[in-house]
Amino acid sequence: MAAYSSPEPASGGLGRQIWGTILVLLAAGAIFSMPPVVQERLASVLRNSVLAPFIGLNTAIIDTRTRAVETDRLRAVADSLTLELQGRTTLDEENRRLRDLLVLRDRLPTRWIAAEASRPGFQASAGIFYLDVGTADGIRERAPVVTREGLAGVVRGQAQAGGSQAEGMDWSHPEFAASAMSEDGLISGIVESRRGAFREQDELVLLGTEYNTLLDSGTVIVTSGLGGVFPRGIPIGEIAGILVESSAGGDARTLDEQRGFERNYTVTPYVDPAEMTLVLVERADSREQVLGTGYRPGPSSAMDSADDLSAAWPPDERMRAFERAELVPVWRDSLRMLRDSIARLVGDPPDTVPPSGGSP
Amino acid sequence: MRRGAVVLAVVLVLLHLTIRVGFGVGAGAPDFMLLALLLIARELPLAAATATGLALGLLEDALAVLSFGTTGLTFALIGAVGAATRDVFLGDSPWFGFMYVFLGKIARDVLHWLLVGPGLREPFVRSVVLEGGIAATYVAVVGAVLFTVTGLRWDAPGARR
Repeated sequence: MAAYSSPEPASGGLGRQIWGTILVLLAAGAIFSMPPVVQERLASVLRNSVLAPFIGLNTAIIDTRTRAVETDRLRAVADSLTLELQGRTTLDEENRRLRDLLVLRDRLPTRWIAAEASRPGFQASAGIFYLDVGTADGIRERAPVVTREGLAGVVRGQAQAGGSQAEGMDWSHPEFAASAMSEDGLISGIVESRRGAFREQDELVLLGTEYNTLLDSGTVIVTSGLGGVFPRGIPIGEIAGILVESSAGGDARTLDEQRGFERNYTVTPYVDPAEMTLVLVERADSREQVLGTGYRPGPSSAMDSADDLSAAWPPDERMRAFERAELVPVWRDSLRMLRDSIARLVGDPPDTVPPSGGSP
Repeated sequence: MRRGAVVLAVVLVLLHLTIRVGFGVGAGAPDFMLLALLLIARELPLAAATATGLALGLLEDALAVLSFGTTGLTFALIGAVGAATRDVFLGDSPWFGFMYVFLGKIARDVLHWLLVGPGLREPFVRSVVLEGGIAATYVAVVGAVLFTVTGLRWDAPGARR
């Protein structure tokens, strides 16, 4: 391309350049002096043509920033909601226990009353709990204590002189025992507590069942009603396996081998003593009196005479507390899904497991 | 007219629009549009340089809410003066390049300040002397670096007569 050089004045080219420049400057002045409406129209034409790609880029960047800010805001909202929900966990848990207690209360005879269980909190009292009801409320010694999950323990005696509190022992107490049977009633035995190396390893054992019959794992064990302490049909736990104990010589032998006639099992209890805070305890009925008090029960209903309580724990509801709790918070799963969506939006891996299905 | 200068001017205009308009970077980016005009003004005839200034100025004006035409008129005048400097200054000194861009930027700010309505003016000392001085130094340094890197010089062959 030829290099430009200013035209010589004599050629007349300079005059054309000057006049051309003047014309351009006049045009610039005219544009500058145009009415705002016309100016805006001209600007709009430029924005929608030459400048459109750059304005589009700017819009895209602003949108991205806005989304980032919105994502941060949503994450903050989700975090605050999570924090609030975590703070409500205790209330939620208590609510669930109360709801369970109401359900069970409607299914049991009227002589069963609600009570709050508390634990002394020192090591020597392992397996012991106190109820905020006592003989003044008609609670008798050896009264069964149950939860929505099943058999929790039994009342041992009076905790306070006034009879306003009772002392009980849960199934992990060494002295606990209950006559039990398989759900179909064909196999019966005695359920006792067996201490583990740690409290978390405490378990129930079903002793004294017939040697010639075999219970499968998962078989539901309920109270048999024999012995007069526990009514028939209260769930205790599920068969976990055959009990194996080591002899003094070190060889593993089952108890039935040692005794020759019995088959014994380990039982996974439905009730976790650590979660036993709200319970139902049986009051003395019309056939009994609470010794040492002036308590005299009123007329009992027709259900009070029923000895089989298995209807209060339908087969499809036999589960542990944590299993039931997992079915309740569907809304919590929704929140978890929201958090996962936000995490995916910003490219982070989800920090929660997929929600489980089911309903309470 | 050198082809490299034209290409560089087009690149500077696109860079200006991308950075300032697309990315939304304000005064943090140098005034590449003015740099392009000052460069191309020394390559084009007087009228063409003036028209180029008007066109580039209107592009900037289209993005301003108020005072449409101010930058167009300003750039047209700068384009005309820039083209006129070709016959006055040879432009073979690095200092000329620096001062050419520096004064061009100052002239742009002063003209813009004069043409814009009194209601839109900011204080002269702040907007022209202080901020304008800093911005002029900034764009002059960037221009010097740019021309050193690209190997272009301000003295267009046609100007050496």
